[in-house]
Amino acid sequence: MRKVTLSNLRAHKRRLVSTFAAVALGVAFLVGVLVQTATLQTGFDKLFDTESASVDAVVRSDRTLSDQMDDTIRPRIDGGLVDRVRALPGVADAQADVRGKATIIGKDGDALGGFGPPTLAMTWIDDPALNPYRIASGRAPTGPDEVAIDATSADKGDLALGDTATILTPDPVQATIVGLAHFGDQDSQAGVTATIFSPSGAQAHLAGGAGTVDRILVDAEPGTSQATLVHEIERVAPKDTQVITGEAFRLENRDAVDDVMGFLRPALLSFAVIALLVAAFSIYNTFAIIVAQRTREAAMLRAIGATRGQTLRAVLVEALLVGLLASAAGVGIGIGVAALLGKVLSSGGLSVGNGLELVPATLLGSIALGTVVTALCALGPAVRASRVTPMAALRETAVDRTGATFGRLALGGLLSAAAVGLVLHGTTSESMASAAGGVGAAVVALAVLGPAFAGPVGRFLGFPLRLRGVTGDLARQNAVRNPRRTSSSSTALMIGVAVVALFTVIGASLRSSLDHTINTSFGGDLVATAGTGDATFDPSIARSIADLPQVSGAAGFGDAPMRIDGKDELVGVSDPKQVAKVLDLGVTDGRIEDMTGASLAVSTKEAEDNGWKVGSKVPYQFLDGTKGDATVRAIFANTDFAPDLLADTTFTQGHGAPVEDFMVAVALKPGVSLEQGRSAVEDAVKSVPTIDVQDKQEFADAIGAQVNQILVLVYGMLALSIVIALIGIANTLSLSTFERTRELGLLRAIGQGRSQTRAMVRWESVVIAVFGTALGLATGIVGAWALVRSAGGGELSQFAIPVGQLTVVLALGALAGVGAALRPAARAAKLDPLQAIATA
Amino acid sequence: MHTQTTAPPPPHTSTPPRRGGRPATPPGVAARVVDAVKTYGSGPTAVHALAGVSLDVPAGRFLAVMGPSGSGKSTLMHCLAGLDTLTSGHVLIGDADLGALREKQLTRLRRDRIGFVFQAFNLIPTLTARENIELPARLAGHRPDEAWFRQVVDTVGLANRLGHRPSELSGGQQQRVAVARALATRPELIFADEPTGNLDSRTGTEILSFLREAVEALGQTIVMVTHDPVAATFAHDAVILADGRIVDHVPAPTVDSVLDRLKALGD
Repeated sequence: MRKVTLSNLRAHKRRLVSTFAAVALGVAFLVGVLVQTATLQTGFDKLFDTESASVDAVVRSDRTLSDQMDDTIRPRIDGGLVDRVRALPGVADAQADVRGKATIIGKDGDALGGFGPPTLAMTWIDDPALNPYRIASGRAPTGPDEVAIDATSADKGDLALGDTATILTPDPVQATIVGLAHFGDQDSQAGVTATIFSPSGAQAHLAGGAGTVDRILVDAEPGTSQATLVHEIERVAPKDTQVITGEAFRLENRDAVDDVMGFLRPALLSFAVIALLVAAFSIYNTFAIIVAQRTREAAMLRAIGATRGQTLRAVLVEALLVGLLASAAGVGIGIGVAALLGKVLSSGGLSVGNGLELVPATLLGSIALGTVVTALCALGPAVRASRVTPMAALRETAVDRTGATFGRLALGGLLSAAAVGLVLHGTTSESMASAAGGVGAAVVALAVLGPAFAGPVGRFLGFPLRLRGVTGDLARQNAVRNPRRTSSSSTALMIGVAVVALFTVIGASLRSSLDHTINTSFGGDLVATAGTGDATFDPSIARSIADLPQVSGAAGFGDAPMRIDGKDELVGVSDPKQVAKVLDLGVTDGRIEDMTGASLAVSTKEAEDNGWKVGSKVPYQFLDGTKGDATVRAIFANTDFAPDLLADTTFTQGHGAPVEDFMVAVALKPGVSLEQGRSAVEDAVKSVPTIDVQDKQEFADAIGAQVNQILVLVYGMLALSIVIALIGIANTLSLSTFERTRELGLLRAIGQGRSQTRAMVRWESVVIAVFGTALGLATGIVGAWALVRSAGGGELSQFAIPVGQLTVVLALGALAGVGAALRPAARAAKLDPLQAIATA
Repeated sequence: MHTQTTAPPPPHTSTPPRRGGRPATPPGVAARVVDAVKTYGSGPTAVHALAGVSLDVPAGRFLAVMGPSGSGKSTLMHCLAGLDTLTSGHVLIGDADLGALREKQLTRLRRDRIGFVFQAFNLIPTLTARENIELPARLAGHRPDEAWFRQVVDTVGLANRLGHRPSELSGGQQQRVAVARALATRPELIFADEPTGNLDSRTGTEILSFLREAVEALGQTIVMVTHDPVAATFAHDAVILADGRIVDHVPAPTVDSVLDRLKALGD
């Protein structure tokens, strides 16, 4: 029996090529993601270890708040502590570290970095034990307006030693670049844009001259343990400070890396899983067809005495061998994919500059997974092969027209019911998890029920082919003659397209929601934004815009970390006197304008959840420890633009955390043209070159462009899945064509021309591809609808179907069908009619 | 059952095509084979499937090509039908020299001027009987001739089976559809390759009667390859092949006369 299996493998190499390709590509994607994320992880860990390698203790404030990224922020502490710590026994050195945000403006006037890795301001420390940066050229900054910047940023911004550059901290600082720095042995710290001020510069520009520092880094004398050091420092440290060991500090940083990777890894892995799932359908289909074609052979073997187990094993061993070889090849390709992913990530600024991290367990595990997936996919067909009776060897094999068995219909029905239930529950109770589960169930239900409607739907979709005469008619018939086969080869494509459609529709819905929001709740005419990523500017900018004679109202928007009623919240801040002039907040009770001092405006949802009314007293605490009760002055319904909690900017300033604006909404006075207004506002913000002044449409377009960027990334990640699905369709066609050798020969004998044969196979392929694409589109659209409806408004208040884009997807699907048919069609057309007829 | 008409022109005599001018079969000859040689392989292992065959297929007649296995009768038919090419020699159908035709022209010739009935696998399983019959015409982009279609369908007695797919038809009915398809385009020539090989004798007789009927009543020309002496009795003439050559010609064959000639081959 083993001999039969092996000779089968040899004899049918070509039929298994696509299985091989599907497994190899799926595994390659998986390996690529696993290797690249492992590489990033170790890279980041190393970077953070480098950053504080010789730090033995850290002194910092013990007060914390969480910001929107769940990062812990702390207030600065008194810098006078540094000298006292340095004087302690066992302390080799102690240095103040003042940190902040800094955007460097390059020679061309554009901000450097800001998307992805952060733009950081830090303090130059002469002691190399406490400073991971090294001066590569020039010298360390000493004067208050001298800086060193990382070599990568200098390169990107075309900045050289001696140049004066604008640094936004966020207030613009004109600083001379006196040094170019390397991070350890790297050009930069994983793409971080670093501005290193002298200690006096850091005090002046980051700490506002208050004499405070973010933390004190301590290096121990040789022979002093970190624990002893911490104990020693704690004796002089004031009550509101915290002293931790260097080791604990490094662990904390590693946790932060884990948080980032904890988001990136599953996001990338989910695309790898989709690729594997699509591959699984292709593998299943290939084996199903191969087994069907070998029915006679299996029956003959059974007739001469092979047992069921032997027939079953023959197919499984074949699958295992193919799976093993293909997975091994996939691992090889995957390492290449990892390198490619690394290039993509580093072009986005995320670079850790180390070699690929090849963990043997990952590679072997991926081989095992690929092999097992292949074997599992072959299991069904293998069982079917083992059920072939010896009698089948003697019977004429009829066309397999099986659509759906009762079991299949029952299972599909149950799944559909579950899908509908979950989606309805999700949309009515605004539970996205439930809706997502429903969409998942719907995809499985479609895969299960596929054979039941592949026939009628395929016939319907193929209807236009009637216009192409008998060739089109034959193609249409061929596409639906074996519904199970059509369905499973198109299901692979369906899954890929469904995800594409889902993201496309959600992208369009985001855009539509944004347009809707801007049109309904935005009363202003212009928006000034900070431009890059997380950049911000001083709230005084908003006030100077509001003072312009052309402007009737201008409200800056920012946020401030606060503890409200015991919970860490990021409270939106603005100018209560201006907000109503630019935003329609849908105030249901109280007045925004009444907010003065310790007061809040809250959304109706927040008010309901907490039982707050206008006049309620809500306990608050700032980062610096200041606390009290804030009075609720207004309740508003519309949270399209504003967060659930809103406070006066001036109330939140000066309490430990910088409070800055990320945008200013501007309303112009009647009679002032958009152009007049724009140039006046542009003049007013000249001091901060990164500020962009946009009208409503430009503002929406800019945000839309960001959504599109993410969509492009997602499409890229899905491309491989689509390719695997198409290989699957091509293979199904090849195998079907092979199976129909006689029929093709007959057609050619009675006068079908080569181009007609080619067209017949091509149109069959197009029907299958369009079937998969259409099903995918439908699933994606309904899925997106469920998710949008369950999102409960906010950024996804509107559901929009981008008809144009989806039509393009459908057209591409049809085109892909043509592409998948190229080789099978050519082979079918080349068939010698005589040979085909002679084949017994 | 089958009526003998006036003495046919001898099918095995033929003259080479005119030199210089356009070769064509003379009137009354549907197809002409001149010095046909078909060799497989080369050198000492070469096999001569056809070793110099010349033959005229008279128009409006039913010709049986007989011979033992390996005699070259199927090769001859395939070459006549434009499915296979000769190593040397000529095949003429009307004014067409098959050796000079390109693949596309050959396909068109088969589609428009030739009909086929094979031993089995004659029909496209996804099409109904009617669609199968109309297939050659529709491949050519023509609308089938409805009157002729009716006549053919009536002749083979399929009028109430037209909507069925092949899997819903018996073997005999499937062959009848195949005969109807071969007739449907009113081809110059119909080739039948062991058309009754897969049928029981009663059904086989029925099919052979239809073929004869097509010649007698509808004026078609049929070349049938068979090794069954009973089948040959339905033909007007029989030629016998052995080792790639025509070794005999049997006018108005009977079972006995054919068996005698075939037996003589062994001596």
